[in-house]
Amino acid sequence: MIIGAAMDIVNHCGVPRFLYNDMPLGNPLGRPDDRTMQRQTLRQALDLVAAASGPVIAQTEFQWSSDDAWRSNFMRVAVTGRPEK
Amino acid sequence: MVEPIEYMQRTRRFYEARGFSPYQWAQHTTIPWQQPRKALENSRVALITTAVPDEAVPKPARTATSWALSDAPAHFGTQELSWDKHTTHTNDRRSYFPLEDLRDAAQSGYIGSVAPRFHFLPTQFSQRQSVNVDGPAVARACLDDEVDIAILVPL
Repeated sequence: MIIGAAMDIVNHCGVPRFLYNDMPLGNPLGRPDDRTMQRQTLRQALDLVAAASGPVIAQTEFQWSSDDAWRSNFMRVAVTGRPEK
Repeated sequence: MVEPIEYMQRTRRFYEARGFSPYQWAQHTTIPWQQPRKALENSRVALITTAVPDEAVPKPARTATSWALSDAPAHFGTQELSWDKHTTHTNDRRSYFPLEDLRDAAQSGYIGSVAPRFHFLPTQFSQRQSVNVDGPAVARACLDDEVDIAILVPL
């Protein structure tokens, strides 16, 4: 069972069970200090192990925030073609 | 639902901009599958993390290691790893290492037990190292601990 935040990488690899949490890399279980989200993510992963009868990818219902601006941050390459720090 | 971030494309562009050749991502030709042999409430569950338990070990020397749960650090080493440092932080261990929630699950009977050890898998550029050395080492350790379900939470 994998719990993670990088759908394309894990899907490309091909794994038995993957629970995708749409979070920034670094917080696959959920937002820091959000105990409800973290607990529910883990429980959903365990439930997936119990329920699946073949390779499966599922997604939690959670969102990092209502503002999607964070999505452009990671490994951003500037219009100059140079990677931003 | 919003389309997932295309990390493979973004990573490729980032490293091409630095003059590196494109990375070949690992891919199984067939997906390994094993049906659980026990119900969840009877299963022993282990955690596997890519967060670093001992930063004193230099990155090139890191291999898969197994640790008693009592030795899990309050804060793993994460700064050398590739995660979204613009957006978030890793100060909350429970956001990437769910030991407390796993223990709660065992205490409530949701799972049978938590395995006595967790396991560290180093983030490796070498797929050969991961596939031939580190992965099998963790698998052996889980078998030794009679683990039924292993949960990998890559940072």
